[in-house]
Amino acid sequence: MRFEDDPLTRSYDAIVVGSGATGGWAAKRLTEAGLEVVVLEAGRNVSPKEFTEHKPAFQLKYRDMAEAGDWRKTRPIQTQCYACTEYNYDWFVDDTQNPYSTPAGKPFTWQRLRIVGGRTLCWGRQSYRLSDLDFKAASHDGYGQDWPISYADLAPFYDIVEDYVGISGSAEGNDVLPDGRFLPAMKMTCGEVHFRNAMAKSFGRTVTIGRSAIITQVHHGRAACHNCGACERGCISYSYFSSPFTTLKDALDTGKCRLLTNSIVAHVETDPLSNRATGVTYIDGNTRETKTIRAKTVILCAQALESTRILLNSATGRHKAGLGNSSGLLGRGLMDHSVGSGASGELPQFTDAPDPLSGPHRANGIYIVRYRNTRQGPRHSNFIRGYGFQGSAGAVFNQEAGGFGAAYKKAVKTGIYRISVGAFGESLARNDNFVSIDPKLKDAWGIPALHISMTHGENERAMHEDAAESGAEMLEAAGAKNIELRSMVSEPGMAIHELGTARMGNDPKTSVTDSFCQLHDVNNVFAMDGACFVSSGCQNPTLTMMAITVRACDRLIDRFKR
Amino acid sequence: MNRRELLRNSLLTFGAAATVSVPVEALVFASGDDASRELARPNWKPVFLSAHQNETLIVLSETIIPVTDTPGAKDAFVNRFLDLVLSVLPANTQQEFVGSLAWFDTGSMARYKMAFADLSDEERQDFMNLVAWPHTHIMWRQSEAGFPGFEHFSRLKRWIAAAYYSSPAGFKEQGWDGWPARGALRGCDHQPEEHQDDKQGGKPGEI
Repeated sequence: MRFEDDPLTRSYDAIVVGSGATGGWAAKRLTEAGLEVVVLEAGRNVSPKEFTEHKPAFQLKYRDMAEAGDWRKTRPIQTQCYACTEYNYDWFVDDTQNPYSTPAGKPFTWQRLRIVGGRTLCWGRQSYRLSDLDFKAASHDGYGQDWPISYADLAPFYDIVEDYVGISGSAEGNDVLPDGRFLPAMKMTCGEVHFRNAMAKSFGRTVTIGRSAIITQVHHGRAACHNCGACERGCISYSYFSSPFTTLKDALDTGKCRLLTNSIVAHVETDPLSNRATGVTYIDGNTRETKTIRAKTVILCAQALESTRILLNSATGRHKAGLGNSSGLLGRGLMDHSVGSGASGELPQFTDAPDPLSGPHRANGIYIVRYRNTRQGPRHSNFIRGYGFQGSAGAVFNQEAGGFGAAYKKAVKTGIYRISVGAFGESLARNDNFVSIDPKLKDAWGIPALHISMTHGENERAMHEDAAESGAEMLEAAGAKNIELRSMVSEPGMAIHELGTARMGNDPKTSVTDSFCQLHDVNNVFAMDGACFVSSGCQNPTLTMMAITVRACDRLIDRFKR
Repeated sequence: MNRRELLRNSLLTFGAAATVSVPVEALVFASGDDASRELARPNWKPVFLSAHQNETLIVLSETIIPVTDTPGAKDAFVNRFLDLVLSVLPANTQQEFVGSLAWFDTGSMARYKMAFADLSDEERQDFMNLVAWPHTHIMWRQSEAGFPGFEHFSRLKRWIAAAYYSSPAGFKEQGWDGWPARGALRGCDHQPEEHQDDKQGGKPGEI
């Protein structure tokens, strides 16, 4: 390597830690504005050669059967994620190398990837805007804090992100779930259309097609979805949004972005005299060398818990409890949407045959917009905030048909018309849900690991009890038979929507960052990911994380220009 | 979308890749190693099941999923795949499986004085009719007792069905034609009045 090409011998305008949904956007936005950026990614690069969305299960040794395969031994936590399979487990972290601790009786499942693109390689793609019912939730019900921004502040940045990412969906005119700039919506099945109409008629509730970061027409050089249905295993036509093939590629194409893979950031370096960050120290995953890279700004996009871990590990004499922790709130207010409850049944009035395996498959479902505790409606007596449902209805092959023999084979093929809905509930920000550094635990690179302490509380329990009953009630109103409901709250982490731990706010005493994700305590360090969330809403959060990142980057660009 | 269209679309957008150049044909129809071929080798021998257990599993699986106008479980090597999977499963799961398999011999011996695999077709059908549906045994002056056969049947049927419908034969049974899933989404195109109790069909602009 020539001296001038060595990233360690020069200083950048910005270091971006992480190459996923927000890291990709930060790199794109800053480099397209002319800034020099280096992106540090803890994992390896990814190649489209690894994509397996068209590989039939029988070509796998164990066909992804439960519990089979030695690879599961290194990923006992990651295999709790539906998307971590025999096809793609190598994208997920090796749990033995990436430990964390939890208190006795308080399990937390931390499901994550370390690879260029991070979780955008196999995310759920559901993309919803928050509304002022979320941003100003505390004013609505008195719990917690309002965000320092309103929907109007973020709306232009939602527009920018949606225009680029490509979100297929349908406008509904429901203020609880603001409409966006949508590509043509995917079609609902007959059962879903029936369900949507029944819900509107019986309850006045909004059921819409899932708003998904899957493009339904050619968009910025990417082809429309070819409907193979297995997005979590990659996409040869890049039809779902994934940062390596969109934002990050754009950044690299500017010639102003350097991507360093296998670079595991340990902490932020600060100058005690100026109280400014000077760069970051990271471990080279290939050589195990400790290296330091310099920049004028440090932008953490490592995922909420990883970004906060880096800040906590960046304690110095001046910042004894971690960088940006003068409020004592760094690590506090951990949230993850509560999931687990819902209802399922059959719609026997529909007799369609299942789509053949070589036929089209829609990697999307329907969405029932939150209807509890809205501004217009009554307040529920048992819980605050609310939940949305994701679900689907359609004919599926029925391996669970009774009996045996030729009749059983025929029944499998005839299929069954199922409908199911599952709730995603708001997770209240509580300061007793937190992450801290475990003084006795380090990862495989010697970096102190996290202690994660979180439980869902009584509000989440009551909310999911209601969601189960309400889900069953809605299915019954749609004429469903053999309805089964489940009322439970899954282990925290199961939604894979970790949020909070470096909340934004206007008051440095009650928040960690300002409304532009800048640490109150160190003005050239930013936490631009889910860490800055004040409350969780009940909507899938990635779209909001990206919009917040673009807003914060645009303000940073203005500062550089001045 | 047919194969040609899928390839063309992929070629159109392949320039978007940030990383490595890969032959598009290999991406669209990536096959890699086909593990199912390993199961078809002539000198196959079980690595977990005993010869008798293997034979019992072949007979049971073929009874549950027989040859019709499409292959049955035996031709799909359901026994061979399950033997492979069982060899790496936790001990308690292995024990549950072989325990349920053994029950079929126990039940068969009690009624017909011979192992399940040795039953005539008629006897096997009778026996399966007994175990394939939930029921209870109630004897005069005895308390109600659950009949264990259905539980054993259900456990093994789940494994057998999972193995069959993930095999090449099972894929074809579910409409797999050798190419990746493709085509335009088949959503609701009905007119409003065609859905009972519905006031409207699909929305304008949906694709």
